[in-house]
Amino acid sequence: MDLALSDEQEALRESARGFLGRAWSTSRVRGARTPDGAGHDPGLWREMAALGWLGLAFPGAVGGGGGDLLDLAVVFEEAGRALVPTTLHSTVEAALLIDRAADDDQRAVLLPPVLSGDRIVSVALQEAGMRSSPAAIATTASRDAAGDGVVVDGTKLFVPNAGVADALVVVARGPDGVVLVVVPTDSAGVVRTPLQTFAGDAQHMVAFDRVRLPAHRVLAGGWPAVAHVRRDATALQCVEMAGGARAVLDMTVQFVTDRHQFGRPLGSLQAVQHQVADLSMRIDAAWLAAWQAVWRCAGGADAEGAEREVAIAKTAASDAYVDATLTAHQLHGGIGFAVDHDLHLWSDRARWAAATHGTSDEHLCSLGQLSQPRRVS
Amino acid sequence: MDFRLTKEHEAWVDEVRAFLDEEFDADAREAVRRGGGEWGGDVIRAFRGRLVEKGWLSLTWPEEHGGQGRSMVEQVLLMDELAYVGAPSIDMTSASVAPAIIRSARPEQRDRWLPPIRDGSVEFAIGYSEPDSGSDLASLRTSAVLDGDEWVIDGEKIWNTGAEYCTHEWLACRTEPDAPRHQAMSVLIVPIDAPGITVQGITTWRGMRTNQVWFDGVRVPAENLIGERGHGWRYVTQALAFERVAIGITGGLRRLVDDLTAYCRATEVDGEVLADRLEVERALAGLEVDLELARLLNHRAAWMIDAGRVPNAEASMTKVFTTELHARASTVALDVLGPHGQLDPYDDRSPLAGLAQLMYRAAPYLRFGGGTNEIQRDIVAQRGHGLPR
Repeated sequence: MDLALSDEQEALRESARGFLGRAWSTSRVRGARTPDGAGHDPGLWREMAALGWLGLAFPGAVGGGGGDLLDLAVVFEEAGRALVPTTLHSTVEAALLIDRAADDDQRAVLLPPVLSGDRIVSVALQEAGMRSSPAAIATTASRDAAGDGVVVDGTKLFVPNAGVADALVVVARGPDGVVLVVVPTDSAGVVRTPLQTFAGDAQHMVAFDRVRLPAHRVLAGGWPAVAHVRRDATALQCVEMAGGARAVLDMTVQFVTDRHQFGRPLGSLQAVQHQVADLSMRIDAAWLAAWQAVWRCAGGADAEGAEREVAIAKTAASDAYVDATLTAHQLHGGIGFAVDHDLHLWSDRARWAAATHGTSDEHLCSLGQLSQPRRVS
Repeated sequence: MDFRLTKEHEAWVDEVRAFLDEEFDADAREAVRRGGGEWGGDVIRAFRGRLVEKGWLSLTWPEEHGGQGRSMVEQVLLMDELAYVGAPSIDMTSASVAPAIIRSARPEQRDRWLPPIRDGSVEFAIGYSEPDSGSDLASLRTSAVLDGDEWVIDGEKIWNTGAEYCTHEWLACRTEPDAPRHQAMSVLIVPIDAPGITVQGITTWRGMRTNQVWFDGVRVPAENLIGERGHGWRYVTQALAFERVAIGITGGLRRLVDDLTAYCRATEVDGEVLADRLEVERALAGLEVDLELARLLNHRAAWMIDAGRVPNAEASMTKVFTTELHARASTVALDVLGPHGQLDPYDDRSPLAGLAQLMYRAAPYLRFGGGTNEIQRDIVAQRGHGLPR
């Protein structure tokens, strides 16, 4: 057992925190927020790409840095702390899916421009009646009667950052099961409509009306690739959430230290201290579970074990992050409730994150399916 | 970063399990079940003797002090396994007092006390709390006054668990009446059979016995003062940090959740398998999540000790999280078990051999013992986050 990051990972953490401290700020977060912004910041994007963050966990042959999910998680924790736009997570997830589902020729074409930051991609999975079960997918990818291509029909919901994406990996129902189709967003028949959500990130409804694509746009890996990458992306998101929750805790500790009432700091009151202590304990626990989940996914350990640990991590991270923001609101009082204050930026992100990659309810249900006595004496 | 047990750790767990299969047999399990986990019974004392023979009560002591020089992670793994089968755990004499002696006592005191602790012939009752000094431990009033080459002790202690069978008292007392309160305390070792000591039992809700102990002009040699005069507060708080990691052990909770899950899968109520009921499935899944978090917090604290760091806030976190999960998990279990959960352990119809109700009634003690969870939260906020006292 070794719960410390390696020296290289510590160095990466320091440089990531340092970079984001210089290059990113809550005023830039506000500027990037929808509806006024695009949920994305092109300047930050270019700098993150230049640092190699997008390709950290990909092999050098496709333009990546040759690292693994743990390296990526170091960056994601800092990104969660600093509220880096969700394009980072959604693009990396789509790239991981292409990497897993595509053949060598497709990877050589599709991945380098994504990892260099020149093209933004995202995954189109959910639908009005579909959150996570492949059986409920209604979007179809049928054979094109006119040639050897495919025709995509259907409507996807909550597609992250579709407005700035150059291509979407669409999860559709094919003649022989789930297929993945890489659809350029400027294809004829693609209509992207922004959804009005409260978190300031960009999510879209994307309609595909008889969108015709050549056969080389279809990736060989089907649902197993989607499930695998969602698992990894969920684990990464847990680390991101733990980073965000710690930022909220730090902000709150600072506030109750500075704010005086009754002639003494609020933070000297036991009723306040105990709320801080509870958050601290739960965030530490969620942080440990999140890193354990990433570690398990990175090691390619057996899928069943990883599913269990990812479900535990996401439940813990969602609950800890959401409760951290709500407790922070309570301890900040009116000052933190005014939008001039930055707290609500994290509160919005926490609620978005809790609804993404499986809610606590959904993960508890899947754990219930997996639950059995762990050890029989 | 690596969350796995090492090969050596896995081999260690296998060794412990093989030992328990052999030494903690059906009779012992039955005795523990009927006794509700009471420590004083003959079977339990005999089992403790086997732990002594294995050297497992001195597992983490340095080899130069007769220990095995093993890691804190290995001790925690051992304690998880002991708790899982319901065996008596590494007691506080070994887990908390002995490490304090190793760290803080003078060389001749180590030579005097460590060998008999290791061979099981010296066992301590821990004398911290007093009737008027609980959470505010530094206010304690039991005093020791030097008279020639002897300390003369007067006062009383409470919640002195084990005083009816232990050989010695590990006594926090006031030796420097004029010093500031955190520099006024020393630790003395006192034979419980010394003249002037009176032990009176207190029966607790769970059925376990604890004690109130009076000291009336009790005399012990001057060399029984551990380490240095006036440093007792530091020795006591360090010993408590180790104790908190031990209280945070999750093996017993693992057993509860495993047995509850197995029971729910095997039991039909109103024509439906319990585990198939949505509310039961959901409750079990919630316990799985919290139990894994509790395990991570506990093993992290042990890992920190092995890495040469002192877990302060982290020791408090594992203590709080685990003990509150004891309360929550046993409450969930009793809800799921319904009326059967009330049955005494010796009733053959009692599900989980009474484990849920025993744990339910023990949970309050875990939450306030070893420093109340409120004090632990103070420590997390003040020492972990620098909030003012």
